[in-house]
Amino acid sequence: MKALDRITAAWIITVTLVFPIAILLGILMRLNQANVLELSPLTFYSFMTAHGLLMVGIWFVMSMAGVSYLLQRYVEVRVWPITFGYVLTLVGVVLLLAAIFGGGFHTGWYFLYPLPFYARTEEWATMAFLLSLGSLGVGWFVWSLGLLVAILRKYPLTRALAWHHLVGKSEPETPPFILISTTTLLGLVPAFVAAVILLGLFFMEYLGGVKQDALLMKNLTFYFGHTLVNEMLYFGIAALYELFPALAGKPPYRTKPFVALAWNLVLVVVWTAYFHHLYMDFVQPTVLQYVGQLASWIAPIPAIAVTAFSVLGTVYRSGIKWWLAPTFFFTGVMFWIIGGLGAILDAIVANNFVLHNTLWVPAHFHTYNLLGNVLFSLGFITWFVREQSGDDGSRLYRPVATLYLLGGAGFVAAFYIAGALSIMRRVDKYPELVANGGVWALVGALFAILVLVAVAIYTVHVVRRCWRVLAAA
Amino acid sequence: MLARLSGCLIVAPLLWAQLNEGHYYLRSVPDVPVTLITGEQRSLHHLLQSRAVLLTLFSSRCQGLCSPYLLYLKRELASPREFAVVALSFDPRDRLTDVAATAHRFGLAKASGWTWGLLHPTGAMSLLSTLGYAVRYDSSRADYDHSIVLFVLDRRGNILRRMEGFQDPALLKDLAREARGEFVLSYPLPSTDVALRCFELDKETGSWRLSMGMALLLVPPIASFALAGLVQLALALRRTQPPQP
Repeated sequence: MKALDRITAAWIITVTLVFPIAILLGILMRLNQANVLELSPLTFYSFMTAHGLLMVGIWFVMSMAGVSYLLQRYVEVRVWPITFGYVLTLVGVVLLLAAIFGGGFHTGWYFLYPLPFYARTEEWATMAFLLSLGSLGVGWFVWSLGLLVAILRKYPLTRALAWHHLVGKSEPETPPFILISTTTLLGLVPAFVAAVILLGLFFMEYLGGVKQDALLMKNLTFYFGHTLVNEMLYFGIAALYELFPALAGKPPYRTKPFVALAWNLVLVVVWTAYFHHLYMDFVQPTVLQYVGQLASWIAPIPAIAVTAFSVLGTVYRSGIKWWLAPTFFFTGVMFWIIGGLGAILDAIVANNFVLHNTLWVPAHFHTYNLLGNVLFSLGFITWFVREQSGDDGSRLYRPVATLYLLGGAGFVAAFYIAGALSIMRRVDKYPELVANGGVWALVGALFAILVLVAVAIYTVHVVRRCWRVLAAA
Repeated sequence: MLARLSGCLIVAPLLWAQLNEGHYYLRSVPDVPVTLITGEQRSLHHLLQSRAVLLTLFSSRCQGLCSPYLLYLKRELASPREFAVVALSFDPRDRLTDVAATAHRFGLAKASGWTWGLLHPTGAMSLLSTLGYAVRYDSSRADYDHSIVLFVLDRRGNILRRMEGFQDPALLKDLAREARGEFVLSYPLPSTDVALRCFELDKETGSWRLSMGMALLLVPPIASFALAGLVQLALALRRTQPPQP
């Protein structure tokens, strides 16, 4: 059993065990909003912080673990950066949970400045959180760099970015997986650099009392956070490009000029798309607001269009056998389109004034995460388990797929409807004026319970088989 | 009474708070008794019941800025709509006739949207303290040194805005818009202990320019390309090195 198999199995076990816990936190929050439970505000916001950061964290590392595993098909992948990332991730998560549940850290997953200095019950929680962020950032940066170096050892940068395809040359071919992985890894580096600057400024204030500029801190926070979330989705797409054609019995995808163009656009434009998080910050220079609007259109549309077209073309008359892995990949793309449209609608300045502080926002990001990015990673996990154990989980296909997709669709629909009714987000209880928010919270919670059941069944299946991979070592 | 006022509302501790207008945001003002020039007895919160209020304080005997300030308010807020202007005398020496005479002198005694009155000495101190209104009795001039401030109070008695001194009429218009319930943009001025600002403000001219904080946002993408280039270069150099014997 190879080291890469073992570390991938370790990632899968870790992520699939944390996933249902993070879902449970979300359900408890929705039940509290529905007045079925009575959580204290501190407990609610602690849950909100843990839920958001755990979900982003586990699915980022899982998407990266998938790419790391598949990359060995093209280049030599060294395992130590992945292991280093794993160890520092564990350290970071322990510190994070200590800060949240021991120190009452409850900033929400944005941890917007200056909240980390105030939204906690114990002073040490701020330090624990900053160290956690540092540990995660260093681990992931070294891991990303390790993968980038592995690619560049074989593919010069211009070839890895498929620039020769842009001018119409077809040889030597850059596989789409290499192109997407390279653009994503290059896109991640500035997010980590932004995180380093952000952490440095936080420490300057925490240790030296030097105040920071709130606008600068918000820009850096979203430079890091928004870019990270976007890039993890693109890692999932890379896995899809690599695995889906074979699952459908079709030849591998090839890099066409429009594919190269779309992903090179993503590389540059994704860095500026985060400006749409600052539409409400009127002191942000106006030109950046225009850039944010344009980038919000340019970054996702080519990627979505090219991927959706490719996937639909692959499925058409393919005679594909639908089991969990292809179902996860295919439905993931379809929901990515829906969530992407919801996000683009919100990223239009005029709409943002209406939608920004409503449940429309969690609606769209849960759509392209729970029903998009997570499904891409689950598709990879299911495929990996079959590769390692020969079990494709066919017994689970109907219950897991039905419960997860039905539950997920109902859950996000409750968010969309509540958002369209102008019900606000980030509140633990709804005031009387928007009391119908409680009804939609209950509907959302009930559908989310279906997702939790599906995930629990799936987790047992996956963990048992991945444990055997580890035990075989 | 004069001594009590001077003692309790000493100027120095309030100076920093006067500059930090955000310090007063959503602070609830006490419901103090007020006598209007019509002779009616009211409470401050009663005056807020029907609409938001722009509140200013003055002394009828003031030899300083009160008169020009009231003229300035008259010019800019002559006939307020959807909010009221309330001018109250804080001076314990003032009688109702003094306040009424001041209102008549400015031609605002019967002006629509304007209310003139006298604070009762019993409630004056707690109100002035909550508002951060600096008052000091100067015995050499037999007059008060005091702030010139305009407050926006919402219908629940909370401070929404606080504007010190004579300001650009555009800012006064902002206060009026805020009182009408419109969303008015505001941002705290950068303090001197901020490390890297996004903007530098010239307080003399009111002009601003981008600063190093914004420039810092260029570092991540440049670092990304530089890092990729360096890795590429290092790998290329390694490839060109002859194998070790």
